[in-house]
Amino acid sequence: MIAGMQNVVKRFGNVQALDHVSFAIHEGEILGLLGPNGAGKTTVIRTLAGLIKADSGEITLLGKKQDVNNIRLKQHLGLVTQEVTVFEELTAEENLRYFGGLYGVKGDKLRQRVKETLEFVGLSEHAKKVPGKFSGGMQRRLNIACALVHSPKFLIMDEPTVGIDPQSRSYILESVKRLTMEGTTLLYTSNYMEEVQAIASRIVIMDQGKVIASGTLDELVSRIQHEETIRITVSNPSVALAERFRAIQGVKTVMHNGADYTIVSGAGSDNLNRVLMVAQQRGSVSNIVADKPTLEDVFLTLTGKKLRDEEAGV
Amino acid sequence: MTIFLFAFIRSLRRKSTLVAMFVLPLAIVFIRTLWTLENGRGFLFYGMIIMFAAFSLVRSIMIDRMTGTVVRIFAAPVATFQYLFQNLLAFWLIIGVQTIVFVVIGSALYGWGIEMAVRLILSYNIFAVASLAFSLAWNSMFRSKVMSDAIFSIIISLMALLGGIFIPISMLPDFLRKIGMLFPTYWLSNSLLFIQDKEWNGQYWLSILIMFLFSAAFLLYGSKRRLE
Ligand SMILES: Nc1ncnc2c1ncn2[C@@H]1O[C@H](COP(=O)(O)OP(=O)(O)OP(=O)(O)O)[C@@H](O)[C@H]1O
Ligand SMILES: [Mg+2]
Repeated sequence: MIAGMQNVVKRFGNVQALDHVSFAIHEGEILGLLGPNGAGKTTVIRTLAGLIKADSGEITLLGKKQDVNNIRLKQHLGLVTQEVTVFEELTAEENLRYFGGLYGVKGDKLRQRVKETLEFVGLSEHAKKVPGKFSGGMQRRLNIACALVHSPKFLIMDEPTVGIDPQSRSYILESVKRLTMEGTTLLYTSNYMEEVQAIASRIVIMDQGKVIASGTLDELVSRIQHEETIRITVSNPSVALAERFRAIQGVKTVMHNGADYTIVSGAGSDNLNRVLMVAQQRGSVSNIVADKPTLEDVFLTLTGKKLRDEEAGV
Repeated sequence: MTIFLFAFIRSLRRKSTLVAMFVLPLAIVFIRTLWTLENGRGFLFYGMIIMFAAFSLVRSIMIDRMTGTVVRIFAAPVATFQYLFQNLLAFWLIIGVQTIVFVVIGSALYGWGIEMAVRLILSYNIFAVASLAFSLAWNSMFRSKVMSDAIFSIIISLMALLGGIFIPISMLPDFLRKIGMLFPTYWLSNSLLFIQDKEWNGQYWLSILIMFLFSAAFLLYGSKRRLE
């Protein structure tokens, strides 16, 4: 185990940000940490990195017991913060020199690492520009680069792709994969389940400060395999229709978003026909599918809500 | 020494610092009437410029805190003390070099003499440290730049007034003088009295000592506060 926590509790006043959180990250893997806004992902990262002190519980970092006073432990850790945290007054290159320098990289080695890292994130041509002149995606890439100059063994990324264009996003995901091929262990936080599904070898799902599930994608999906998800699009949507779906026997959750409904039913309910019938009583149906469960469904089943607010139904 | 080195570079790239560092001192040093020994306003105006320079330099620590960049700095093997020490040392050196240049120009123009020049440099430098420490403590109390700036401009006017920048401290009513003693500006004024008195008395060293104690207290308070 390269890092992890056992029963970690952290409170901010009345908010229980971490509620007995336990998980482990093994060498060479990408652990995806998934959770909606406010789930406690950043708090996990900050306690793990020793930036804030946990109220109780055991934390392991780089194979050693975490201790906020032991700053040496951080030598092989890289942190990509959720916000873009680079120096406005410094060029891309100088930013990298700064962060490399903090880890004691110097001289030729530093020069070489800065060059490599700029290439790695595709910013070589912009080395002499200040971040204020960058697009959102370029700033994100610089933000990542700053955590890589010292070649960390263990890299933590806190929502590195939030709010950027699809091109930069896939560039970043590709880079992340290359990093693991080079032997870096990764903790990757996101609330985009497609990302986590695409790159993570194991996944931890958090909600309201608790770990609600963990395992490989297959394990997580098989946990809810006995449940069925039906997606249906109707011509005449209404809240009343959602209520009708909810009344069908075996239905656990109904999500309603415009003309689309997502209906999750319990094991072996075989509700496809019933859902179709109910819908047709209220108008025509333009589309209906019974889905193979995805990570999103795992989340939906476990929490009764969607991962991101903007996608949540009425 | 990465933090130290880049603290220089970052400071010299900010306009507000450049104005406080170069434009203002050069603007006043050539105004002859400010530097007559009977008037002597210039010596105190320059003190206020140091105060502004210190405040605008320490601003970069506040910016790091507000943008969350400190989170990343402390994710590296860097102790809070190192971060503050290296930054403040760089800031102090910038002001220190400025005071020397300033006093050298002043001496050349107005014939201050070597002993006075040394005393001025010492006074200004210890006041610079007190100002840096004060700015650090000040900024650690605020989460917003606007708030910090707004209240600071009130405080600094008060300090200027009670510190004898506009009216000589000897002319202030007794109770105002006593309040003034709570601010380092008063002690800067007090340490500069020798210029008019032409007498090196214990007041000078007392003022230096008190400014030193101010620095220690503000530094202690400013660095105790959490940086996030
Ligand atoms: N410094 C703090 N002071 C007070 N409350 C905090 C602090 N940091 C986090 N919290 C609270 O703890 C909870 C977890 O926050 P956290 O930032 O860890 O969530 P998150 O999963 O990272 O969310 P997001 O996806 O929005 O970044 C939230 O309710 C948040 O308001
Ligand atoms: Mg977060």
